Amino acid sequence: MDNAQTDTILEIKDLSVSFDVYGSISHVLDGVSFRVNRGQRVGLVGESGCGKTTTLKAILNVLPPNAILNKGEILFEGHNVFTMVDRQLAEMRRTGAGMIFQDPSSALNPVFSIKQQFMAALKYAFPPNTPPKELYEIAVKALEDVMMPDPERIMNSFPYQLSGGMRQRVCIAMTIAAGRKLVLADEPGTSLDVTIQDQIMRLIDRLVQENDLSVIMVAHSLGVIREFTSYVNIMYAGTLVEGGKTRDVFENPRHPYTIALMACVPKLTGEGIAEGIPGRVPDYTAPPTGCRYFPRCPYAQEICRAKKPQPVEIDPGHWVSCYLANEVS
Amino acid sequence: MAEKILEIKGLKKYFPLPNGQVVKAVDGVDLELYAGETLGLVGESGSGKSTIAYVLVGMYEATDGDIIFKGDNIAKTGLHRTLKQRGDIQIVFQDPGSSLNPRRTIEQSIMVPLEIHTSLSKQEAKKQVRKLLEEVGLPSEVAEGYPRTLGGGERQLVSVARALATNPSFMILDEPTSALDVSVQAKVINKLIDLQKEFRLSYLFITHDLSLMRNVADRVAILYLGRLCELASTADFFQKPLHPYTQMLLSSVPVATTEEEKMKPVKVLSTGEIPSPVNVPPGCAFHLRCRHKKPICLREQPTRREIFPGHYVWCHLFEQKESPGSGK
Repeated sequence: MDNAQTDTILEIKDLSVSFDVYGSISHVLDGVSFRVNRGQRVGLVGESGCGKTTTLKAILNVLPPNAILNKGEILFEGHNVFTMVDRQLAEMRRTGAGMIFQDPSSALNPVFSIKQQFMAALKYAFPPNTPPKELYEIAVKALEDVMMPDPERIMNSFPYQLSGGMRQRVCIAMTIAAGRKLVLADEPGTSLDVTIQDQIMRLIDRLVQENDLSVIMVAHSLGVIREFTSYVNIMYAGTLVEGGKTRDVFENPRHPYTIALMACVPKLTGEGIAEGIPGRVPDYTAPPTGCRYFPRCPYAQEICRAKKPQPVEIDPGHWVSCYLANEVS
Repeated sequence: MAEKILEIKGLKKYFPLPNGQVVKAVDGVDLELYAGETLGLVGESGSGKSTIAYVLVGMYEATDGDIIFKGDNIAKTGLHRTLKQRGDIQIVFQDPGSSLNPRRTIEQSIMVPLEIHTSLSKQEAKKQVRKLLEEVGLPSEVAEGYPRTLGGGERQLVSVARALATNPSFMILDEPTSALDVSVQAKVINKLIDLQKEFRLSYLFITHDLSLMRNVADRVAILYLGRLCELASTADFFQKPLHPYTQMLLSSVPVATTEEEKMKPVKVLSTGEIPSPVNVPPGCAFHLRCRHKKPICLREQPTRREIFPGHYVWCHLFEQKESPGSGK
């Protein structure tokens, strides 16, 4: 899957994004680089506020107006989304990449029927001269695909008449129906009950397989990432600290943050819960110099404060941004 | 056996709707709680977990049934309880962002229960606030700050300190960490475990996270549509989940290690959704999603059966003590 023949659909290179919040600058993303190959499922894991969603928004070039792109580029099928002209950008959003949001209740507009919203989404995604009847049929077919009972009735419903799980199915149907190649899934199951989350994850799994899609799955649940992705990036405070094949990273985490994070997750085997990670996520207006994790890191040394560590490949395809990568385990 | 401090018998809480329908949020729940234990209450949204909590704490009056707390029936009292009873049962809510008043300093927030429940002078109360903050592991300087200056985990610990102010013996933790990140959750949970030992507290720990439950609860009760499905010691429960719903629930948990994978019983694919508590299906509430349903499940509500000592299940499949999915 990661061999040289597979082509790259998305490549993020050294992405750094800040936000201007009433004059004080928050330096959120700092040098984020990763790539997604065609057909690959890449996970992006991290805690609240670490920049996962900012990364996804940057890919679609829908960052809020107060965002500042310091440096870096995002190549979607070889074209930089930040320098695309409007027409190319629209084309990329229409047929290239689409997003599934965390909260299906706020992703749908409460005052429009599913039909109105679905048709609007499809009108945008398909050529302008497509007859509405055809779009309607595509929508109904898409709702059938996400296993919605009685899609015609659903089309005439309003979001409040649907359960959370059904709303998320509608959102997924809207994203997939347009035939996009890359799906950006931003915690698609987090706001749902565990049995419904399981259904939604299986649904996405099936659709990805059937339609040969590439996925970036953002989650803070390590379980979801382990079960769904083949490659994973661990994010801490706007930087990527570790990445590799999901199995390698989960079985042999090497960055002190990854190790601590995994220890904090309550296990079904019931061996108790680790102490947690001391300290707090840094203040982005004045992030630590060097490694952003060093103030909380039990292994921190002088060099960690002085200079940002570069990714080191410790096993084939498994890299860690840490000076102590070979000593910590 | 530890002393029984709480006994819930046939608890029902119905909410009438304007159109004449009735939301049966809690529909006949029996539970007991012993001194110093943690009883985990697990269920999906809409299963009635929080309603049970709110009835216990007096925010709602029960529609029917009894709640015997230390010898007194408090099911129908609502908030008209003695000061002692109110102080004795405390609650920590899910979202520390909205359970603390943003315009009060931490000190002011914790002072309120002290003013109502103790006879401390203002000076003594201020001292007590700092002592409580230290108990939950926060520096006493926190007292002068406002909730916005604290992180989510610290805010939740402030809520815990406020709940401890009345010196309760029974604390309801309503999803206390579901709004927190795992690294923060770990700190809060460990603190709660320490406090329980120190003050000999009994916890009713409400959560939808089975992995968390595995690590904190002594016993687990599974709720579905306002009724219990299964009740067992945590070890028994995770070794041999019996009810088809609990098997489905456990199968659905995404896990981070291969060892945990082995903790899952036969993989039961999750199907269907929890019906509305306005239209609770007749018979067993779970039969619409159950792979093993029999004609009787559509007609009769299952009653409690003790399959192993202390391991109860509400399911028609267990008339002959058979387990669905066993031998597969």
